[in-house]
Amino acid sequence: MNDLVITFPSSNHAIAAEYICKSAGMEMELIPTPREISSNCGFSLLIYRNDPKKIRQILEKEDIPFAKIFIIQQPNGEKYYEEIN
Amino acid sequence: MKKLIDTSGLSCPQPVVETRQALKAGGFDELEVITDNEAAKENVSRFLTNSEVKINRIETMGKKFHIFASVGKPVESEDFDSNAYPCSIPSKKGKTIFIAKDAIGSGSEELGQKLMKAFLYTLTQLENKPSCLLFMNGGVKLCTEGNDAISNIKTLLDGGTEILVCGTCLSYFGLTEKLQIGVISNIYDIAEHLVNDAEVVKI
Repeated sequence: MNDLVITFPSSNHAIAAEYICKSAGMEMELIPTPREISSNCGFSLLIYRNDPKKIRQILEKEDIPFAKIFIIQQPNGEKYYEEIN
Repeated sequence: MKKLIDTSGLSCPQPVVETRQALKAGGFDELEVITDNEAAKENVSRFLTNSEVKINRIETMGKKFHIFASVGKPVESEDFDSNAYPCSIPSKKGKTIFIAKDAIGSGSEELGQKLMKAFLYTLTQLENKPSCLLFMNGGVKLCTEGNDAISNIKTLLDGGTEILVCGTCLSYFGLTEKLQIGVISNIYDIAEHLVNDAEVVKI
């Protein structure tokens, strides 16, 4: 499984999601939103090796809005963020 | 005529100052400057280049560097400042970051702590890593059991960043036994870093 980056409508949502994902025992980091995704200053969640479906379910269940989910792809060492629906 | 300047045993900016004096006095067209450390070698080379002296080659002999140059008409730089030739080589060395709190700024403690975590993560992603992190007062909490920042501090440590944690501060908070990462240090070491390191940033 790949690492994921989740973006949120606001920093407060990102912080709320961090608490939820942390208590769900996920390995993750609250990170500044990568420049490649957005130049806005904001927090995102970097979730290590996880299933995007599972993350979506958890956030929806807890009623935490999120903006986008990206899968980090690193085919030739070159890192890029693939947006998924 | 060849001029030999041996700057062994001298610390910066003295090797540059001696080289400059010799160039000013003149009377030679070949120059050899011996230095016994990397910083002095870099500084003398930079000074010679700035003075439009041609460096032919630099040889390493044992632990010493021999800089060979041809002196045409040395150009005296008008704004010579010996402080421009310090002992460390800033371009090659990262910054020292002084962290005196477990949060960045004031306004919201929660936001400050999140910002600090995100900041430490970001440091691990930068090409130029800091050379040293100094933790004092509430900053030491970042290095103790249960703090989310530890994994990122560990990544920095593994990448060669020096991590010093104030022992007095750990003891004050009753956290000495809980230290997970870094070397317990004292105010002398930390003060030396603050005074001697090429660049220090306080967070």
